[in-house]
Amino acid sequence: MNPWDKVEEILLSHVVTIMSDAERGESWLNALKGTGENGVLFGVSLAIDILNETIDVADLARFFTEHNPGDPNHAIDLLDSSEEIAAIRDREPGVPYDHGGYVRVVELGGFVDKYLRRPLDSENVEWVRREYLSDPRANRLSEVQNAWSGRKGRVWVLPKREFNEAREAHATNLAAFLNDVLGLGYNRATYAEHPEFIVVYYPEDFEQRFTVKPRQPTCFDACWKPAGFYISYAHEDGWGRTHPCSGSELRHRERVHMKIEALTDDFRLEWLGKACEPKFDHARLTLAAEKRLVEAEVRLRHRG
Amino acid sequence: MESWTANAWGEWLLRVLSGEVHTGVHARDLDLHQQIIDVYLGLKTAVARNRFGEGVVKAFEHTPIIPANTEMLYYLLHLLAYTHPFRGQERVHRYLLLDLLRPFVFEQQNLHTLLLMTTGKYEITDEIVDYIQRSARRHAEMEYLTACMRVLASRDRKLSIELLPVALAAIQTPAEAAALARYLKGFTSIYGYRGLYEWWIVNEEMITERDVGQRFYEALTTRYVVENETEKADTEDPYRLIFSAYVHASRRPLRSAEVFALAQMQDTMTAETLEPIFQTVMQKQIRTNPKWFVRIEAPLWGKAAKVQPADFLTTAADSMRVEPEHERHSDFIAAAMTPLLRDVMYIPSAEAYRQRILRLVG
Repeated sequence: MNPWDKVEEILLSHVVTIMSDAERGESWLNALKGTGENGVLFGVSLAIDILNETIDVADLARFFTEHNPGDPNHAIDLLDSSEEIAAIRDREPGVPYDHGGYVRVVELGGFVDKYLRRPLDSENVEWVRREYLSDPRANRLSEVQNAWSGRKGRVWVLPKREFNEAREAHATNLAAFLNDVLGLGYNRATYAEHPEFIVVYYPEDFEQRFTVKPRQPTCFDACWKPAGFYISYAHEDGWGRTHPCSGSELRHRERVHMKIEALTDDFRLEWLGKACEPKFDHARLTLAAEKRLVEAEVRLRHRG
Repeated sequence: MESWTANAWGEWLLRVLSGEVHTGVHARDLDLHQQIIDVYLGLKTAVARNRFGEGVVKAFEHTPIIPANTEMLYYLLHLLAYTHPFRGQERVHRYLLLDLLRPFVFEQQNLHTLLLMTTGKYEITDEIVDYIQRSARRHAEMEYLTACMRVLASRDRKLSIELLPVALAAIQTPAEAAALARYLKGFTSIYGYRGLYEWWIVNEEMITERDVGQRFYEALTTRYVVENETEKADTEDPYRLIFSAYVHASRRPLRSAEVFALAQMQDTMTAETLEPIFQTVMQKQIRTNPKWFVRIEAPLWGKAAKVQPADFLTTAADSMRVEPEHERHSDFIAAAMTPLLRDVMYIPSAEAYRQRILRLVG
């Protein structure tokens, strides 16, 4: 079965059916389908989130009713910029928090741009290298007081425990491994021949001390203009799963939280290394999306 | 795209920035300006990249400075800083001098600060230096001040250091102290420690007298601008160790390994340079903890750094000037220094030493 057929079936049975204006619902489906691969990938993640109950179908139905999708490009723009469909399920009650802590893997340019709010030209990046990376001991970050988290204001994190396992297993090419497995997909850098990555270690008691709570991501947390390598994931453990750019079977747990503007000294920084360009396999991305949708249906049946 | 004219680039940029068209760049975490820079990096020839840069200037010129365009201006400033096209300088300078972007803030980033950082890509004229020095005093908030200091450093590092008093006065929180320390970490890494040390010895009173002194000291140590474990001489930049010892000297007793490390500097620096430095560090140590100095540190200085006996007499006398009970203190110094007197200074007895100190104190 074509993945879009399944998406359509799920959206019709869960969303359009509760809309007062079914015609509007169908025009949304047509608009999404009309955006091609991007729209199909978005639709698959949307369907997974519906089955996983990480978004509220009533919110989605309201959104579809209130907004005219217009042409396909407009439809994806509306969905990409929407803040109206909030994730409704944070960590499942009863799923204990893995007290290993979180880390964020960020490309050096992203650190310069988002954490330090400086331009990405080579001179500024060199200043940052001297200020932050020239001495691994000087790794505290309390001076970061106006961090930005990009257009969507989301920060993607992974469990420190898994990061440490990856570090052990891929000691010689950690940055390249993470660039692929986390679906980051940096193929070049603005400041050097190869992208470089750093890790920001979160304080162990981050969840207790900060009001922002990491949660399982939904399709509305990811960027779709253009699409990256995000696919939603159905599971009760409160974590999403990454999809590697190369399409390999490896998956890392991931969560997302809203931006933290002011860091403290117990956020620590470490340079991870340079990465080569990952292999991109978009065909496998589509296959993986389809597979996750099937998994979501199976889980729903088990749950039901 | 390789053959696009500057006008075509300008139009395309404005369409991308207004959300009309997508860049087509695929990556999970790239913001709009990063995506556009990726397009720029994909251009194969310098001619095409130059035309792109000219297109950025055109887009900038055609973007009215109104609140509705704040986000577009934010991205355009990033692009100007990255491509710094030749024709951009005049407008960047003009907007800066007019403070035109100061009211605009995108995602808590003041666009005037971003414009200042962009200015750093162009020639820093006398007019710009003068403007930065004046505006730093008017708008003394740390992000702006450190940006001012970075831009000034690209013209002359001394100009940058001259803004330190303004930055020190602006410290209100530990985070601001840390931001300034972080700037100095970069500054010393690029220009070395000598400039900072020379500024410090002249202006130290200003730092220690302020409430921010302790906060700033902590920031300097946690960011390792000041070394905590100065147990080895730094042959690449001797002033790094000297600066660290100097900063610590008025706050805590130096450890024996630190004194020995300082003494090793004699292998790389001349006695004329080092002697006044040693004297100053010793005097600061005497004021910080006189008993520790005479009991532990002075003999080490004598043995490791081969400081002249006359210098010890002077420093010991200095230590007494800061102590109210001269007489009793001189006894203590004399007693504590007995081994040193005999082995290094060749003074026959504690009493003889005591008398000499008292004569010096007057």
